[in-house]
Amino acid sequence: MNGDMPLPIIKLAGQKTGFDIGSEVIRRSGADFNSCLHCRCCASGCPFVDAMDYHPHGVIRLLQFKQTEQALSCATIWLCVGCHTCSMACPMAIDIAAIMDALRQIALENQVPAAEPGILGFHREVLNTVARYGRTHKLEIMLRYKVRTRDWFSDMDVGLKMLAKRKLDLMPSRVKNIAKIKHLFNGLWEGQSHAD
Amino acid sequence: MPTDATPSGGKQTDICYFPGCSLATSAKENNQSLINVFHRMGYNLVELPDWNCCGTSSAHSIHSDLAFDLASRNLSLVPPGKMLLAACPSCLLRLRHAQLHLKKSESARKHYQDMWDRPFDPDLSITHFFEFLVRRDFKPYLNGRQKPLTGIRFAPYYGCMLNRPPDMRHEKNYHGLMEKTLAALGAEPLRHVPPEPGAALQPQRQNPDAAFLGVVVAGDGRKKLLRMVCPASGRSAAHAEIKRAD
Repeated sequence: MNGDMPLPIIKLAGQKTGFDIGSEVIRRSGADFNSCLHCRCCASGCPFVDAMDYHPHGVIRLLQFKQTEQALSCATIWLCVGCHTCSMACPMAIDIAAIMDALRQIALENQVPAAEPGILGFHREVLNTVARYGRTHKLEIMLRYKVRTRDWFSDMDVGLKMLAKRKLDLMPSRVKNIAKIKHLFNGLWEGQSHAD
Repeated sequence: MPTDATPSGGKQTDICYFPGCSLATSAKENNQSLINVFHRMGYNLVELPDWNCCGTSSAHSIHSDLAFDLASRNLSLVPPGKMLLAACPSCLLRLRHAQLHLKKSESARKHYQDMWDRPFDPDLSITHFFEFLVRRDFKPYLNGRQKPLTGIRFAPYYGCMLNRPPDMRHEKNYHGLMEKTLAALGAEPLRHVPPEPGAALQPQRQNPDAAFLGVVVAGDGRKKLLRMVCPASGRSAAHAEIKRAD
């Protein structure tokens, strides 16, 4: 898993910092993107490719050319859901989902503004309930997400139907030994004030 | 809970079971039917004591170490010598991925031991319930008890269950499990439904997956069933159906 080395803050104004995005991604993901053939198998299988600004192999191209700023600020790294359809299609067995995880995490640690703040906000609400209860609490996630985005009415019909069908529990399901779980979340969001 | 006697003379075998967040809450009917089916087969699904979130989607998106720790706490809770049965494909993948990492990495094992005060058990078997059903001849257990599925055509939807990262490519895969199980009960499989409508992104991007699943759900009007293994995509399908009905 990831090491504990803190990264230097990336100067996104184009200043050279000596930070090598490529080797950092390989260190974290264990995926050597240099073997990519750009055959586009990943893109043709990806269910979210239409919403992405760079196709999955396009992000790999950015890494090959050390385009740190574009790679960390693109929407693709946030839209990837980690379903591994791309990795299954890849003839070079590159773990593309792990590369996306690595880029997302490097972007967070270096306070690169997320291209999809709504998705980051949603992840935060999910993880906040896991930190509090040890398990997700969907009603709370959705309500807090609504507060965050101030978008009250979309999905309201589905939410009410799910409530009526008792698919949204009012009370969370909880882990008893919550101290152990809370310990795992210590310092998780440090230095990421921009993300709110 | 069903109380009828099982073919094994009412003797129930306990199985350690990981429901996961979706099955415990928004897919609880899914959970209950699984518990009932296993009960009829003579197995008592006992929830993994004090289980936590498996570390999928949001956790591994934001912090890989956190996702690994969440999954490995669950592994550490399994009573020694027991197998672990999972129902959610994503939970299964996270748990198995953590186990694989622990098998490969000495430092991960040390971290695990320090964290959870017990040694890692490399022989722990983590099994999906479909795999468990297929490995056993379950039909004698169900004969005369279940409604026949004859005449029902179903679209198998595996979600991301068939996918895995390249470092797990030598592990077993799950192609055809649903076709095999439901066809044995008389149902007729339709074409394979493409994977992953992206349930994890549903609150932010409802259109792609709802539209995609809407096509599957609408179909040609014949009696049809969408059999899903993913509890989160079940929500997307319900969403698609609600949108269509409106």
